[in-house]
Amino acid sequence: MDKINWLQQMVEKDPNDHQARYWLGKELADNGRYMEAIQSLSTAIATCPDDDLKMDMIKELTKVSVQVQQEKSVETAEAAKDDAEVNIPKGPTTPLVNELQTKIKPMLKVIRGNGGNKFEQEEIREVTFSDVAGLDDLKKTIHLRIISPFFNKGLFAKFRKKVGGGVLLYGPPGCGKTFIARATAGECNARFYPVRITDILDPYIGVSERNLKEIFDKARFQKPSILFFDEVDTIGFSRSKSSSNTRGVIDTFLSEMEGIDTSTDEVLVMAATNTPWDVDHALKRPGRFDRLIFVAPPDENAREEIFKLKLHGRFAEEINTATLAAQTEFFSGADIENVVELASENLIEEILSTGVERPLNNEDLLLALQSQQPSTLEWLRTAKNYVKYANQGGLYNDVEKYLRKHSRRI
Amino acid sequence: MQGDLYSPSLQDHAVTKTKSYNISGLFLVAFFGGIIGVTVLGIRNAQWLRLEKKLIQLLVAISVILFICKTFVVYAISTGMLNIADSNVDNIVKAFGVLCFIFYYFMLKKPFKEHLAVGGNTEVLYKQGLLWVLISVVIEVILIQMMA
Amino acid sequence: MEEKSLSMETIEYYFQIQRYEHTIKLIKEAMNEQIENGRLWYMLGFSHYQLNDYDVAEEQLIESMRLGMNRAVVFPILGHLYLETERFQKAEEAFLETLRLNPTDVRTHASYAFLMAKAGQRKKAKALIYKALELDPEDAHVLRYYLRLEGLTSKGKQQMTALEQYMNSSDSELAKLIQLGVLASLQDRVAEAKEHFRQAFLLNPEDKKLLAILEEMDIQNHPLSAPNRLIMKFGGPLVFWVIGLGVMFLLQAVGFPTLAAIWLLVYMLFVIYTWISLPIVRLIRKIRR
Repeated sequence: MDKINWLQQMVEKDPNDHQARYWLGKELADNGRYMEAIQSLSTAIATCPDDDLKMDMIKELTKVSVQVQQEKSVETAEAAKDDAEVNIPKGPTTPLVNELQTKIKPMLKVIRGNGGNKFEQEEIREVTFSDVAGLDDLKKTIHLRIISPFFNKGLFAKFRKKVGGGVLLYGPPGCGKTFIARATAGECNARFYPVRITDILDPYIGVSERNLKEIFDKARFQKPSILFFDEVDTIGFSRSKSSSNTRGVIDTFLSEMEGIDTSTDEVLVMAATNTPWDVDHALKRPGRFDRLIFVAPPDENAREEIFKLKLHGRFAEEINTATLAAQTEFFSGADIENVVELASENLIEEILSTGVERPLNNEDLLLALQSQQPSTLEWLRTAKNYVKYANQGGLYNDVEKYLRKHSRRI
Repeated sequence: MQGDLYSPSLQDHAVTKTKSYNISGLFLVAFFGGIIGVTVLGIRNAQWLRLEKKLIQLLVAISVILFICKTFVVYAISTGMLNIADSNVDNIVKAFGVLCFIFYYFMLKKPFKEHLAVGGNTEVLYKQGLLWVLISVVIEVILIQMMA
Repeated sequence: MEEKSLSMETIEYYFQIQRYEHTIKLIKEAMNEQIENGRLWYMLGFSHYQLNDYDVAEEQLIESMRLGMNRAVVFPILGHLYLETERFQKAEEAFLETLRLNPTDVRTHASYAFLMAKAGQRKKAKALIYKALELDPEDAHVLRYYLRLEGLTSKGKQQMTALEQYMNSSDSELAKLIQLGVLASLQDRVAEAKEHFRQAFLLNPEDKKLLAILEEMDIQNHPLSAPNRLIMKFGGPLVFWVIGLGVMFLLQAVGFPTLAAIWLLVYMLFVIYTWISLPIVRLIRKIRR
């Protein structure tokens, strides 16, 4: 303790003595006074002119921060354990449980299969619907058709209704299907497992099927979880279109889907595709992906939000995002990003040639807008023709509704 | 034939895909224009469909025979050798034209179907059809005038 | 090494499920490290061929052979490419070269037969397709071409047999629906043809050719095109002309010249209408759009 006092006096005497601040930080950390250590080290880093010393300080600061985090998580887990034993009433979900669920980070161990480095990603509650701009109708639909069944298992059990089957999100590319799925996982407080075809494929016979099975097993083990198959049309490619042999993976996929009972497994299978017509029919039958949800291009509110988001942090004037949103019907999030990027590129080019630096303004964006076409139009036209000739059981009702509303402009 | 199967067949000259009119349309040419129109367009169609030379020669021979027969009948009516009213000459000329068309139709039917079966299109007949109807009518009128 | 083979596996998979645009994208990424890989060049060329980018495809397929890709695999694709671009002599050279390298390649026999039929060499086409059938009577590709070349133009039992054999083959459902549509269309069974093409389109709504066929069929099925359909019901234009003019001659012959003249006028108006009805429907659809 004396050593700390002595170092503190040194620092007070000469506030520019960076070496003393560094030692003080170290000493405080060694004595478990992490917050003070962080403060001392941060001040030293901010003012220290010596790069080598600065590097040492950063290393020390990182070490202290990690220690702080570790200690916190242990405390929280212990507190949660105690609370759970004492306070949580049985029965329906209560606000207290919700609060706890948002506080506690699950400490489950990730079990790796033979697939090795494949399928490593797993995320929890990173995003929720509050992070999704606009698309209120879609959020409502997802709440009604996905989240409510996920939380009201008792109700479903009462009516002997199996909470099975997957949810297939479809729509034009770049409209945030993956993001919506991630947000759904956030809303369900569930682990989110994104799966792509590359996580499954293996050159050796039978290994792809085994990889797929392991992914399902892992999701079952770490419930509640949402298994999300991106570009599901590649995994469950329609066998009607090809005489080639891709049967093994699809068959495994089908049997695993059949085997999922959401009420007991607490695993929800979600998938996304730009080409729902390419997904094997067997995968769209009841018990598999029987809930199809259309993810439309962002509406005007969403586009405005996306513009704000993409312009955030850029050297720009006050931009009238409402006008831009109004002029970008059918633009996907990716298209809007392109517009902003293009406008910035054009401006940088101008600055480099004229030497006059100025912020990005409305005109730059409107000019960029002129050379950008909505990439969703081709998809919407294909969907329009598809719906026109598909007089089948209402599978694509929501896209039909959307197309009817906008058909004149597509 | 076995040997021929594996030797080139298209190397001697610039080969193009088969072409064809809608052969039913030749009926109009035959009806309004007569033998000359249907022969010219029918032979062109037969060549486009790559009918064998022998068959094309046969078609030409049929046209020539029918034309001679028709000319003889018209001559016989106009000179009173046949007891048929002059007003019927026009109908008889048409009847010969349609008869000629029927020969062509049945000779071209199968190759035409095969042409469609391998994704072939039909050529527009309007312009050429009208042109050959006019030419045929003019020639027929001149011939009838000469005979009269 | 494992990463490399996995990447190849992904490309092969996308190639196998006919995602040609994505295959091209993946190959271009892989090419940075494997520029001398003949198989990659082949898949690249084949994908461009499938996307109708023929010039690029030709160059890439030739490059794949230079880099050691099996010539007996590449030449048939080149043959089809030349066939599509109507370079019939080069197509023949490619097919013959394939058959020289692999005399029992049944599919190339069938493709060569198709080329011969397109070029009007009917006898040789027939001999080749029968040869292919003799070599493998169950091959889907051969049965598809057999149905096109012989089945569609033959009648009765032979046609039924060809159709039955093809439907029992392992060809894709999409290909079968298209062949059934073509068959019905050639036999003037418009409604049936449309149903087959409609189902095929639902399996592949990005196919612009199928969409064009369906739109053309919509025009033929429009209420304003009813007279045209009536003519087809009578057995086609030829029969209709024979009936119309026969009635006129009959009326004349039995002594009703005025009635014959009125009949001829009505008949001619009807026929003229059938010539302009389809353009009218097209115009209406265009305006509505």
